[in-house]
Amino acid sequence: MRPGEDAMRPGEDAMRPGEDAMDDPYAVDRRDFLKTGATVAAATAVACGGSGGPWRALTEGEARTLAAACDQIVPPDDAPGAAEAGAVVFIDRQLATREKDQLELWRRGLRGLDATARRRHGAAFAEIGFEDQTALLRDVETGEAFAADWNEVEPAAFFGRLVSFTMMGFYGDPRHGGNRERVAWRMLGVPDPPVRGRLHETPPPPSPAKAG
Amino acid sequence: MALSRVNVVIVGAGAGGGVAACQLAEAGLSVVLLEKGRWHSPFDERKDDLVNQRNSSLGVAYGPDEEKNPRVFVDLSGRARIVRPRQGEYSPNASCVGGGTVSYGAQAWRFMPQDFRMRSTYGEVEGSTLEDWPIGYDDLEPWYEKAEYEIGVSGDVSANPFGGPRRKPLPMPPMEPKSIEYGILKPAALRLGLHPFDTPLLINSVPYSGRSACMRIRWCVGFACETGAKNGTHNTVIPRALATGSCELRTRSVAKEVMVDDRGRATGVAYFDEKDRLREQPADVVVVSGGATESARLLLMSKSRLFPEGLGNRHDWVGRNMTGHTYTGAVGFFEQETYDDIGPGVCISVCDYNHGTPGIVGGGMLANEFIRLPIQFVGSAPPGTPRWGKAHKDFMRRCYRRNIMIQGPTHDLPTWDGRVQLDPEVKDHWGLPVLRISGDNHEQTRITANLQAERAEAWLKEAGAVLTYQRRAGRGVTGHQHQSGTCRMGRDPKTSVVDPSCRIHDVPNVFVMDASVHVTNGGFNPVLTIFANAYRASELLAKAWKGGGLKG
Repeated sequence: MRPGEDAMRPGEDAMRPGEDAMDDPYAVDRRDFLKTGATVAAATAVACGGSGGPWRALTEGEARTLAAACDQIVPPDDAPGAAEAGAVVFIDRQLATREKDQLELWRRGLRGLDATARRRHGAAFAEIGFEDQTALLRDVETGEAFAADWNEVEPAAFFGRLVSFTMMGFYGDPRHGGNRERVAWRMLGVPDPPVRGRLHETPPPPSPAKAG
Repeated sequence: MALSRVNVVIVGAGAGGGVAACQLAEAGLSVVLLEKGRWHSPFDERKDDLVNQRNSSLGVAYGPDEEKNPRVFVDLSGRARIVRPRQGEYSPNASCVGGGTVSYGAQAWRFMPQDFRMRSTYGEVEGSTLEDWPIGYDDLEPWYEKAEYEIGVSGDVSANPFGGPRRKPLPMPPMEPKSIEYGILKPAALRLGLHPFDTPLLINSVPYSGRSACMRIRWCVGFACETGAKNGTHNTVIPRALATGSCELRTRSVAKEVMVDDRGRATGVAYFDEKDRLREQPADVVVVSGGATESARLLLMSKSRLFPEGLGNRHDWVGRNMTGHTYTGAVGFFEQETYDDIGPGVCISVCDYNHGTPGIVGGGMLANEFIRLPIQFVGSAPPGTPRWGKAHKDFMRRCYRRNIMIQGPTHDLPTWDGRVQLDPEVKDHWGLPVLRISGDNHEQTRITANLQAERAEAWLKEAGAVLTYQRRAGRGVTGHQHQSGTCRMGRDPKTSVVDPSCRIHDVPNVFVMDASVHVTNGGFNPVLTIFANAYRASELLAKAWKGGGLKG
């Protein structure tokens, strides 16, 4: 552990088997994420769960649907999307702990996504095209999704949670399983790794630009 | 089970109670300091962006306990619901040794002379219980100075022509190096004819009182400081109180009621200890300092034959007039980079808009905002930007390092219906009735606050922002971390709860020392005023004690 770095909490944010601690922490994975959602979402769902290990709260199918939905909220481009960043791991952990009483709401919402996708496109949400997923989620957001698919849960209520938790899982603290390897902070250009023991004698930043 | 008698029992080890404990213990009185929360080490909850007192998406770091302490919130349509400390409607303040001062942003403002004379300055305002304080700036000035020197303040207010007179400069210089935001905002304010100056902060810019200087990290407001450079009661006056040997601190102690005898004198405090056992601490004097929400609650729970509606509540003033601040401001986006990761962030401020605008009641200080952590910036997109998808991600990438926020606390007008009271049904973990929060902020406050948003936006435009938007006034009673007003100070027992010495009018040996007694709450963060008034009131208490007037 470097001086000033936080200790890892047991089971959280730890290195996974096969990961190389000497990897360049600034390297950005530039795989092509602009393929259709299906394969990417499925692949990332598996990747985020480690070696196919069991999720703490979600089923494999729910996690696949959620991964596709997370990638709609923060889509992959030249930086990773939410699913690759670990948003599903983050949400799954919350649903197994702090948000336990919300698990049923999430289950119903994920079922709603799949039911709507089947009605419109004849396939589960994770299997339909990226643009179709976007259009479908817009209707969920505005409450215009087909009512019969959403009789278990208020679509807008589910969608609000989906957005806020995906954002937390992407931009939030890595110790909760999201923002894996601080990808979001590196994307934003936030100094990384975080300097937790900086002294006030740190040299001043470049001269402030004059306001125009 | 009764414990041995002490001179003073203080309920709440936050801003007010911490100062009182130190003053009274150093004056030679025996003190028991009861605190509901724990004494945290800053290493307990390490810099978690999602669990802190600023962003409590997944919970609060320094209390109160989520499960044990529900409250009831009544919205503007009259619908009541149970709320938890992580929700804004709860009006949460940290519950631990040091209270809010462990994790606050630590702005160290003196109120202005006019802030104590709002009624005289602006006249009667319909729908508001606006009133003057019974004391003025001059009464507090020496105690402001004592707070600045004993707890520790950095900054430079010499360029602020609007503050009240002061005998001494601040004990520590402003933080160096200056941030990029400072370099952009200061010249812009000067071009607008404003009077910008370095924000006073209860943070060490240089080593002070045996603690180190600030290390300028981005995790400041909402977090405890790992190096002790942020000054609260937990690392200044409370350790001093304990060092006297005549102050005992009991944590995880939950006050149930102030006990009162048949003569109408308080005899001590009943509380639940860390194992939930009911204890009684006898004392000659009781000081209540649980913050404006919990202090009012304790008085309301302290019912007896002589005080059937609660202590100090003969005229139904306890719990009313709750104000915090209506915050407004603006966000500006720049072509150049504005982010340099030099914490805490807030560094430049103006007091040009606190008073004196024709047709407007009050105003407030404006300053740039603390560093926004990425998760806090997610909701900062200008109106019209999608809140998810590629467009939002692009917004984050383009704007995170290129924005400035200016905001400020508008002087809230108190109202009779902006209040806390005991909920008739919901109980906490200890079986005590929880608070029920209801009311609205005043229409005039919203008008003033929206004008402040326009002023903040004009400052950002002058500074070169290419896109700006205002954050305008919301509705609902304010309270939150700046909670105040619920045990108003005044000379008339019919229209106030405590007298100018902070003693409850009709109870000779119970004092309230926190922002509950603020008649109005200034256009500023209130903590330095809480410190100063607690210094002043405990000095008066110690004098009265020596005169023999308080012994039971």
